[in-house]
Amino acid sequence: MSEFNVDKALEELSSYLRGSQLLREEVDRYSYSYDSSGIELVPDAVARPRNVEDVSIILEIANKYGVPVTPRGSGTSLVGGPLPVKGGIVLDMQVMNRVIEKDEDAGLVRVEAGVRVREVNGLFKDMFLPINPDGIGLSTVGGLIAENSASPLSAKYGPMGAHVMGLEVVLPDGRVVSLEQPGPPSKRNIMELILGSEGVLGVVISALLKLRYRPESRASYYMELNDVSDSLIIQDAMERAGIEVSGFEVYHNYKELMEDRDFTGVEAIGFLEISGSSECVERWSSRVNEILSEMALEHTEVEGSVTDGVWERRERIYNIAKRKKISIKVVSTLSYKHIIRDIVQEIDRISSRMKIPSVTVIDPPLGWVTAIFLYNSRDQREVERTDKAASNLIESVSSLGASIGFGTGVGIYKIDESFDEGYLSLLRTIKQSLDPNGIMNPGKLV
Amino acid sequence: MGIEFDPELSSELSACLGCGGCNIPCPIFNAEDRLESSGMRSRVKVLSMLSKGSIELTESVLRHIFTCANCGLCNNYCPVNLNPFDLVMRARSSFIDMGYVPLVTVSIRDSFRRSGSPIGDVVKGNWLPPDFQPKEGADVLLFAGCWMHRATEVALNVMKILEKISENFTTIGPNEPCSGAMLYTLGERDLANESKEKLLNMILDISPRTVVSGCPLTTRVYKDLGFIDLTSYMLNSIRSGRLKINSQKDRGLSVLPIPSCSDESSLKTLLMSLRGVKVLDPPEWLRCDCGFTLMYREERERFSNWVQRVLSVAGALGANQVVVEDVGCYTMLMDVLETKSRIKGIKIAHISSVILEFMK
Repeated sequence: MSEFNVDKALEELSSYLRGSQLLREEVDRYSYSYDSSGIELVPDAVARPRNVEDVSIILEIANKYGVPVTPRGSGTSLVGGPLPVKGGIVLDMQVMNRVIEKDEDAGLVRVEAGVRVREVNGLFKDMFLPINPDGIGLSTVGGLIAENSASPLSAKYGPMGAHVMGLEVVLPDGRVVSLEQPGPPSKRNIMELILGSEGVLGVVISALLKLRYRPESRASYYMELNDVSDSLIIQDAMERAGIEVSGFEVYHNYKELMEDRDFTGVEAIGFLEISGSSECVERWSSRVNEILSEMALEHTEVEGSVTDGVWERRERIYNIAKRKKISIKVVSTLSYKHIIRDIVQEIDRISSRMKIPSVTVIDPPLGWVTAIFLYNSRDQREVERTDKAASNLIESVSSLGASIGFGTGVGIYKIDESFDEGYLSLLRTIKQSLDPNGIMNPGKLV
Repeated sequence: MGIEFDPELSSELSACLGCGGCNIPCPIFNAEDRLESSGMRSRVKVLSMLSKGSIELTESVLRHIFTCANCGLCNNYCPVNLNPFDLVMRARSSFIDMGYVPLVTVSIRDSFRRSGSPIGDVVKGNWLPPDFQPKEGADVLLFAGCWMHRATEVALNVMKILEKISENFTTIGPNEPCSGAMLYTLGERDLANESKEKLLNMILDISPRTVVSGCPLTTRVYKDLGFIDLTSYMLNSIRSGRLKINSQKDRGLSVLPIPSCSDESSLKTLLMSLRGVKVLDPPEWLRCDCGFTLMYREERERFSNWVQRVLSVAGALGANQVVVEDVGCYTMLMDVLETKSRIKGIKIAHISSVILEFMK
């Protein structure tokens, strides 16, 4: 049961929202209680705004009665980002899915928060949004902004924030602000405060996005590594040679990803992609082959349409889960190169101690390490051990000097207070000033 | 205490990772502005919650599990090939075995028991001569399906087309049983199998070389029967020259097809073979067949909303005609439109009337 009474807020809201815009039936509430994290938290109600005015009035009324509001896109979060930890209202942004304007010459699109990646990518033939965390383009622009999401090609193109030129945001008291150039440079800084703030400061309504040209040419490599450290040496060699890596992803403990007969016994496998003009890729390509050969690493070049398959990261993980009929829990970390090896070892240790198998995905150019714990969600003891594995990992990687939540958001997990004391105190001050009643996505981040 | 599904089903339900891929093609999810509780992900997750015992089974939860569009399109969109629609059909069947029969399916079962059809009372074969008897040994047999018995105008068109294609053609007539496909999707496997057996015995008596199905749901659900959809049969006949189409007329038609929910729907290809017809590309969720019957009968407002969404898509794409493959879908759609306003300038037609117009 929630600690508060939402009835008054919903009664007042019902004079503004009609029909399926405000839902309280059990089936509707259950349907907004999950995402891709495997966690279930049931809201008291669901509101489905059609426009900025609806969002504004919902927040104004929720704020008046202190009712929590948790924004939600298409519910693809791996960390419970859109789940209502304290109950209250889930704000389903999917009705707001219009393309407001587009300019192909400038490569700019202005879209509402509920527009999906696959829809953005269908707007211009030669341009795309290089962020696709679920591999199938279901994530919404609003969700990607809230979590400042990343995916393998972020090594070249940066995380979601790198593509956002402007935002329209509704603050917890219902005020609407537009954070977009032209304006003083500090306007961009304020916009960046919203990027990756996981819905605790306000609701993103629409965004101005700068799309990128699809590369003229691409070359991808599959490689077998003796050690995770090999990937760091490769990355260093690429940087030294001036080769621009578009994506580099290494799977450690990947045995869990494969049928036994396909397992060759090496410690890790990697996928690397370079892209650019044909001349450039040709030149870089021979250098990449030299680097991999000098290190005596088994490798093959992947060509043509297969290169897309290489980056369907989530699909790969889904397939493991299907084959073994298991669920997954993800802990995403970011650190500097010199501690990546320690983080990987820590994941191995925790996985072995808790008897929960895991796959570790390392992105050397970004310093991004993701632990994927594989468990049976029908076995309560396994669920508990997996939760413990995740929280132990967060604690230990924090003490190693890594941060959590890169690319996915922190979600329902907690940032280590002692490690991030200064940041958290500052964020709480900002949160208090914008959201004194603490209605925006409570239980997350701060 | 959870609902005890068989262990294999429970295990598959818990393997759903909640990505929402199954919602992409869902007709109702899209027509209702991506309402999560309209989509297939919600049904699979709610079943998983029931199986784990984290929620209680109530009448509204049961209703939720049984009331989707039954299109099965979601089976093609699951990244781990869980076949969500098949999971839900298996769960429905388990509920019925356990004695949990939702109120929402009662009238469909009642009409089936009363008149042998899930679509309500229908006088079968009234489009045939009073002394009609099926022709034993015919080459081609039309299995009309329940909805065609109600849509007399479509049945007469189809008869004209099939008579043109094959001289040795027949149909079952007033005694034609339902294939049971609709009941099968609702988990009523015993009733469905009984009806299917009855139909197969009648077909066996006639022993045709080809069975043309006027009910795409039947060919979709019972792939093993080897029936061919009416649309595919017409297309094959045009290609082989058995059905001659007038290729000179340019009617300036801009057509939005509504294919059946079958993967193998030939509607778009068939329309593209007609000269002078501009065929528009329907969104992936714009499909419909007899599987929509439960929604049409029991959740009329939702069905009407779907129809209105279809018309606005047609308007936005600049269509002047909407051509429907499934006779049930056509009949349900026309029924709703009779009581609602039509969108100006857009005509709704069944594929049979379009083909008839183009026939030499």
